[in-house]
Amino acid sequence: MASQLLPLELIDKCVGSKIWIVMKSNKEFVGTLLGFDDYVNIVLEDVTEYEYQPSGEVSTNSVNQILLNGNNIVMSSRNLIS
Amino acid sequence: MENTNLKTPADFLQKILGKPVYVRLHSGIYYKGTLACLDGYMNIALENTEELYEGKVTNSYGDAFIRGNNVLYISPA
Amino acid sequence: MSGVSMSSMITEPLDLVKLCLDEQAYDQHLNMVLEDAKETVTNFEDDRDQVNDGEIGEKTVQTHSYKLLFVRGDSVVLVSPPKRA
Repeated sequence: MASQLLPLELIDKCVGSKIWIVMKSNKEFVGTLLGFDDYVNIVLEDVTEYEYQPSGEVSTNSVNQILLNGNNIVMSSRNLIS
Repeated sequence: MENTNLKTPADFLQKILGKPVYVRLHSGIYYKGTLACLDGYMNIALENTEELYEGKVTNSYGDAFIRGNNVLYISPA
Repeated sequence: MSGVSMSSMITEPLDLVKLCLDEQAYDQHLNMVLEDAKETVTNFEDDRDQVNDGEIGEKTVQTHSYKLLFVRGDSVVLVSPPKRA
């Protein structure tokens, strides 16, 4: 019986570790995953927000803790690609 | 599962209710105010609200209702 | 009605809208019908060179008045009681 991993179980495995979140807009977030709910609203700590400007510049912003609205999240991953 | 590390959105909101917060919208505008309450749509009621855009205060409101679909994130101020 | 006692009267965000719009019709989507409404359109000329010296582009303000106005809720960002003088 191959054990199947549900999508939310995959995210649950990431609790406590640093994750990378890509938004529908030109934004990404990197931070430590503290928790999430069924809508994939996400609580992050020690967050860096990246915004990709049309000019190609990247602006960054640091925030201590955030509750990120799950509505516009495209994907999240524990692999930090930089 | 370590309980100390587990903090769901509901726990987080419980903790910051009544405290000063930043609400960031998709448009890039921030609202800074005291979090009075919020609902399942992330509609938010703020008290003593300042509107900030590109680091400058652009408006202020005594009480403000923010429609949840515009909210990108909430952060303790 | 605003200010000191607000927290005691407000248990969910839409209660605040109720206070703002107690005379007018609205629903949970924030669709609303406003009487004697004033629309203000503020435009900034988007000249990014001017942003560098601390100035945003030239500002133009247009206003329109309506006896009766329907606003569709999905375009609403913020609702606040009018400021008292």
